[in-house]
Amino acid sequence: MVTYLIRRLLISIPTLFGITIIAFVALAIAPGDPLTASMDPDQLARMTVEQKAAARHALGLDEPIPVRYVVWLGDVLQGDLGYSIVNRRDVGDALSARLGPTLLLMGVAALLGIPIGIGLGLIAAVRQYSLPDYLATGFSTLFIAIPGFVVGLVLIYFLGANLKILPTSGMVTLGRGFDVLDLARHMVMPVLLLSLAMAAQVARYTRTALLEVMGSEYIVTARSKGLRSRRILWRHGFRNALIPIITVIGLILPDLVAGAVITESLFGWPGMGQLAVKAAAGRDPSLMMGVILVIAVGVLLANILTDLAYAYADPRVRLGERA
Amino acid sequence: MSAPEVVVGRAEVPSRPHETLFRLSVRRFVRHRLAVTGLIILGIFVVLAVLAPWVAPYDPTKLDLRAIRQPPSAAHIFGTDTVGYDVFSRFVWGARTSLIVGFGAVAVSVVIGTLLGVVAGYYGGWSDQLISRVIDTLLSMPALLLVAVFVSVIGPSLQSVIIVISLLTWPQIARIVRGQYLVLRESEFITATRVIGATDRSIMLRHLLPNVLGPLSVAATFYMAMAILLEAALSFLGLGVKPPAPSWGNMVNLATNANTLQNMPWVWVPPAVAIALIVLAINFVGDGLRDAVDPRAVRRG
Amino acid sequence: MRLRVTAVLLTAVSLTAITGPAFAQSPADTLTVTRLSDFPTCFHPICFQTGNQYMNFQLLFNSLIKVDSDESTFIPDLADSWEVSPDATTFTFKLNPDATWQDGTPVTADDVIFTAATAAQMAETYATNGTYPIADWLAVKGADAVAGTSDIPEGLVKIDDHTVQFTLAAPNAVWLRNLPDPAYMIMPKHLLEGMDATALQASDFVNGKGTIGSGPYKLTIFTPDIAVEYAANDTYFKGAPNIPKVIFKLNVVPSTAAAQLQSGELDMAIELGPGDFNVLNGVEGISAVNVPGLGVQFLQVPVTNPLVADKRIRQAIYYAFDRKTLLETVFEGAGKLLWGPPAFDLEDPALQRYDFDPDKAKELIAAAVAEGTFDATKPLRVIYYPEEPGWPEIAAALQNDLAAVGLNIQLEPSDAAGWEAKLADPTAYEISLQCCGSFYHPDRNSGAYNCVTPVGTLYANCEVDAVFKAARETGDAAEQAKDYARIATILNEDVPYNWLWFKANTNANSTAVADFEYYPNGRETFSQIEKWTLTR
Repeated sequence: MVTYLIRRLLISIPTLFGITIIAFVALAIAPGDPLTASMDPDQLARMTVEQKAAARHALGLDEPIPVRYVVWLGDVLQGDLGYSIVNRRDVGDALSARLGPTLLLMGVAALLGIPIGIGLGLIAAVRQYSLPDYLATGFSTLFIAIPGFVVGLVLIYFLGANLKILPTSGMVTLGRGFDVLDLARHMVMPVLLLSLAMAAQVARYTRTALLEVMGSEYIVTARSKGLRSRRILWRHGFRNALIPIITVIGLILPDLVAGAVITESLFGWPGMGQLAVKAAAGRDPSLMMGVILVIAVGVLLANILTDLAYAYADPRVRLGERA
Repeated sequence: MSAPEVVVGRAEVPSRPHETLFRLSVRRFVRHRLAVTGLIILGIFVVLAVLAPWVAPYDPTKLDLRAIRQPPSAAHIFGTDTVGYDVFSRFVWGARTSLIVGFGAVAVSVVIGTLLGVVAGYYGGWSDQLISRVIDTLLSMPALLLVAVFVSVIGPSLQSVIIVISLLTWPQIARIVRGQYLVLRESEFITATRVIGATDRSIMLRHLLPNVLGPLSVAATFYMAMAILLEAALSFLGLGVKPPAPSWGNMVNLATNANTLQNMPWVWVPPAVAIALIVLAINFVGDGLRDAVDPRAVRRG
Repeated sequence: MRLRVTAVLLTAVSLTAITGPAFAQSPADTLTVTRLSDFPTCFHPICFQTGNQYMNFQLLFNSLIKVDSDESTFIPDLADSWEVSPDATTFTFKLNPDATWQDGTPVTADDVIFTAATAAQMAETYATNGTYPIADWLAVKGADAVAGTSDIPEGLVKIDDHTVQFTLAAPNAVWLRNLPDPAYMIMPKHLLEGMDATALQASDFVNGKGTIGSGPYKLTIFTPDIAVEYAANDTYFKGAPNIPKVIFKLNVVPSTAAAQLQSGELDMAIELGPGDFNVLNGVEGISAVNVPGLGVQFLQVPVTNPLVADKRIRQAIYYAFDRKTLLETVFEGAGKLLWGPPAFDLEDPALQRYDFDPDKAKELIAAAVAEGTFDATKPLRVIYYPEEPGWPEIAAALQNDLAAVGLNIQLEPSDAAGWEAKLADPTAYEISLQCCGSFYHPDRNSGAYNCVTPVGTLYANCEVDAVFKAARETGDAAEQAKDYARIATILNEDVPYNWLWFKANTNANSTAVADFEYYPNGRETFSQIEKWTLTR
């Protein structure tokens, strides 16, 4: 187990490098740069070509790409994530300020969404082709089908602007001291949106997985031996259905760090997702690389966790073997 | 609740594997009511999209400044939007765009994913390692960043949306294909085939590929639905198909304007409903395909 | 069964606890404001690049003089009286002796001299940062000589502790009118002296920790990307503000700004998006207005690009584009039509109005084609980014109208950064949508015309430069009028820019806010915030 973990971690390092190189190069060749992206066009229009060149030079933007990458890498290995040109802040500061809110939002959404999803999937699978199944399946497919930002906007305008029962943006009410209830109120709508979307996805996977498992031959055998349905379901069926469920949870895990861009934008939630968009739109190399680094680390950790979970769920899976 | 009816084994033993298996699958698909409904809905949209030039009463990119913000009327059945486009015409042409995105993105990602998945799964060894690392890397990248940077380099357009979505989905397809090949290449009938003297190429293509088609087609339908949804999400972020080119994504995106959202629902509700319908339809078709193709699926009634 | 009932009850109870009235509204003693845009962390003119900084500086700092909401009447600020020499070269300001910094230190002539001098010394940094221009400080006699040194320009003279005299290198009749711009706000010498440009930009002061100004509000907490919080400065020399606290909310998304006004999370929003007026107009407790603004929508045509080098093509575009109907329909008349450079007197009957005339446009194009100066087969690329309010509509209408006269238009939307990258290359586009600026005086156009190092549209006409200079330097109003009329005629003929219209701004506020006026230059609205009241 330990050797497996170490090997996985070591393999992750070149992947991490690969990710950072791709991201760096992609950003470097995209048209535009942080200089032009952050200024009012009036100001830009008044700058002469020489001034713009001087500005780029001051920001270190005129070096060749490999040189800039190596410089960045060197800084990172010394713990310096660089300076965000667009925000005029230390990248490390920007990231740490954003990571917390994202983990909070996504964590709560996942804690609600995943169990609800599993529950719905269970109901749908066990009571297949009956009303609860149709309701659960209908809900989950609908939630996957409607573009999320539309639901979000409708919620904001209906519950927030018209009915005025919930706040529509930010983490807390500005100007009041910190208040947990205030924070909770601000979380209701974004968490609702996110957890329902997660629940829908998880429900579909769970239902499918359980159905497959329930139809498999050893379940049939167990039934014919006379074991009661519920017991079969829990002890034999569920454990095996766990694998695809773990898969879908594993797909959701990285989002805990990456955040949900659309939801964060709509609700003004100061999270990583929004930061990622800003970094891309602002062509801010250090900020973008910082975000990617954090997210990539999160994804790789999630992959390892998922593999460990597989091993626990199914003893047949022996770690390290590719099957 | 009665015990589930179980299909144990297969009634027919196919003598010519492909044909009868296909017919069997079709038969099982047709029994799945939702799947058939989904197929019909999908079919309607496809017909609408194909016939767009004849169905649409106006040019979707022609605006009429004197007829802006009009609710549905005889002259404009879905009304007009804030610039004076006829919403129905854009809706119909938008169907074309969405379906092209869906089919296109899936086609590209299936081709790339299958190719690389086959190579990785069949040959194993260093080619598998290399391809798997590339897949891991791509899957680890925050999708949005890839998309944002890519689109900003080549500009937002139909082509960039298709390319970007394929970039995001081919690794998943490759994984599925690779997984199947890894398992199946060790199976007995393949060993037998090798003993007979079949070439690698013929094993890969004629013997193993058909076995992959099942899970592959199921995955393809789901990713097609995802592609259509992604186009809408990309429009929200400003990275999708841009107006004046009509797409359901940029039509729904008009709902981000508070006035349009609250006072002009005819502009964004039809494309939102259409997206939901088509995604549902594709998902049902996918469910049906899966049940039809997977021999272990539990069937009842 | 019991489990289910408990679950439902529990959910109901917690939901009630969480929702309910008075949940997230702006507190009774706080004015929560926003303006949709970015806010980089910077509280000093040396990195002053955005409209949101403009608004925040107005809370923290003071200028020598400000203008009233008519954008022309001067009101005293740090200077309570001033004299202008007849030749518009020497400006003497008498400072208000009651003015103090928020830490109690009095504001003196030393601070004024320090501010103007250091700006001239660090002019290079200001330029590379792309800040709002500091032309007024650079116009002082001897300002170019001190660049990079720590000397004081010879034109800056301290008469006594509360009197400062500026002598300019050349006469400048517009010099005074530019002073309200936050780029010229006075900085505290006792807190910032001795720092070079690098140290300054890294300092706590500039980064929002312990920033001390002389203005009506003190900076209490700056949370990047979230909000800037202020508390009233009770010793403000113009009288303590009525509203105890102000919060400038950052990161507000255009699509939910109206919702936040309706829910009470915002008390005021400046420069909202299109359509927000319709949403908020008539809503109880909210007042929404369209204020005629000083920003302009216009088209930039790179005159060095061979395809559009012939001015007849530029004129044809102007004739072919029915901007009047577009303004009246899509933008609901929120704006003032233009046919020449903004802020100029355009009533001169000799000026061409460029009213919608597709036939004239076709004539001009045909003439250009006949002479071989225009290749009608090549597409004209229009660059813009759709996130800018109004631009998708303008682009769509432009394409329609120009296609109707036979011009092949290719729309090239990108994102903001991509658009600005293309702007840098005159061969990368033929038409660009442009916006805004603050045209309160014809001279505000002069920055776009430089025949030595062309900028913007790259139009280079040394006569225009010379006449702008002459207009600035003459003290005679009649002379100035003639000069500007001359410029208007030239530019109206050559149309390097197609000016569409002055934009109106949609601003909205809760009816609890009173005793204030919106400025045409929206960002300047906080100029007299100490007089505002908030009654809930």
